[in-house]
Amino acid sequence: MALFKNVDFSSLFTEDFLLTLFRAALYLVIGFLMLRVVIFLVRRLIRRRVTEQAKMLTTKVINYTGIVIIVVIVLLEFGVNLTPILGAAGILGLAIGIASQASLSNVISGLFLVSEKPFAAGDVITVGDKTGVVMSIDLLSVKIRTFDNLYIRVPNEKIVSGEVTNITRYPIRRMDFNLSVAYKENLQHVKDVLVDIAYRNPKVLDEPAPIIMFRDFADSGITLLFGVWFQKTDYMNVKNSVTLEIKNRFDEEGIEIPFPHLSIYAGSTTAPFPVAAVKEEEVESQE
Amino acid sequence: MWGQVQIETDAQTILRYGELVVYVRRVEDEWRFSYRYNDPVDSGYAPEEEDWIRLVSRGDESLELAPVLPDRPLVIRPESPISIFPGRLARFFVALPLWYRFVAVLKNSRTDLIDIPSRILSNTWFGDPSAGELCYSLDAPLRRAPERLKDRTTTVTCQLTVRNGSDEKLNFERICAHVENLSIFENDGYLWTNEITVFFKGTEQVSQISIQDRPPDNLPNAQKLTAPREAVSRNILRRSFIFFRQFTGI
Repeated sequence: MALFKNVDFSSLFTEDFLLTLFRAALYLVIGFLMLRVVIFLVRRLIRRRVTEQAKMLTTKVINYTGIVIIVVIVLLEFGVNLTPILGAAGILGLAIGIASQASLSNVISGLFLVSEKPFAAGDVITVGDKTGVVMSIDLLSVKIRTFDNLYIRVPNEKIVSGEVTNITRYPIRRMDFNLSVAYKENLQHVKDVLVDIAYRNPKVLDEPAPIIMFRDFADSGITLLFGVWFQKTDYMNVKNSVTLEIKNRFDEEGIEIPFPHLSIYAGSTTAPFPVAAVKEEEVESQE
Repeated sequence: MWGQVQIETDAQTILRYGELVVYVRRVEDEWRFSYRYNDPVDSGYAPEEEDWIRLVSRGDESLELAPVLPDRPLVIRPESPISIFPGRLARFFVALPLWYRFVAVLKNSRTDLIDIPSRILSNTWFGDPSAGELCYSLDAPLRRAPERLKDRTTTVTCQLTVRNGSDEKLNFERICAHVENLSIFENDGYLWTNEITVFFKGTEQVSQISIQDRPPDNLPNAQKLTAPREAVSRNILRRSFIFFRQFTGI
């Protein structure tokens, strides 16, 4: 009851009370209108200077602060003693803080994300084993839409504490093809064919130049890295066209791509189990 | 060659420009275009329904052809590196690839329908991988006289003057030409761009690339055919300079 000790309930529905009610309503209406105007002006002022996330955060901070101020003014108009409310709010805040450590951690992580700007809405990122387009960066989480159209909510804390790959940060990228050719092949010829494939594909950048690096004398053949640069928007086009061209040109040039073969052996002898296709008549004649 | 194009009514018209073959049809209020490269005359090829690019305009326009330059900068790669000694000036001529612009014309109204490249150009990157510029790659010799250029009827000749005003040798392997800032002029049946002048003042000094708003001085009969895609701005000049310095490797 201490909360309402200054409230005179006997004066309810009196002329003074109705006047107070009117003033409170006026404060509410004017307060919210002013709040809208302030938010509009601030957004207009910062629209070209900060990212969407910073704009969103600034708007929310102004909005919540404004609402608190309006509510306090209205309560003061009704003669409510705010000291107990503030005290209770402190205790409540402490309780909420303890109970929602994870959420607060996410909010603070969200502030770090906004200030550090590791990615922006529209970027393609990989978090853990999930890759997708960033839809929004909010106070508590980042929303991602994967390429198979799944909606993923990643808590900000996980992003700040873990590794995030921004795939579309830079305008160009390198696509690596790990190839293997048979030991019998002329490696200089293989290299020339790959250079020609890159040169003839208009979506593959001439510069930075494609890289070809022979890696290892592996079990099945000689492994090599073929890396081509491309504009980030051409990913699918380059992936498909270069893969097709490698296969077609290797077939045309007689370059063998080795792969593991499986032979079936019977018994302890080293000779493989003989298998031969014979006509039905021959089987009958043998019998 | 430039100006009005005769189009057959209710039938496709085949236009050949070097290795480019353009198929044009007018169907009611639509202009339809399809194009291929290196298509032999007797190939008997006819575009399928899905090969056509359909552009809805009006039915009563005439068709005009205009030469334009590519829509992105060109990174010109000469056959071999070139060095210019201090205080020397070098004038080069390079053949730039042409694009064909088809325009629908009705009285004073002109509608750009489509730009078709005369040949497919490969993409390339100019500058730092994190903040460069997407360009087309052009392997083209830098000649000292325009007569030595090949295919001048299907290309645009660009006169490039490089002046080394520094006290050090200028070495370069590539030049980025912002062709979107160049106009096209016709002189005695050949196409020319504005002259580009590069004034190199040294590694530590600000150099200058300028594009004259007129044809080269030695072309008295030059007539302007096409305006630049983009007006020249100070920013573009500055960017060209930075890139030029990067490509000089000094």
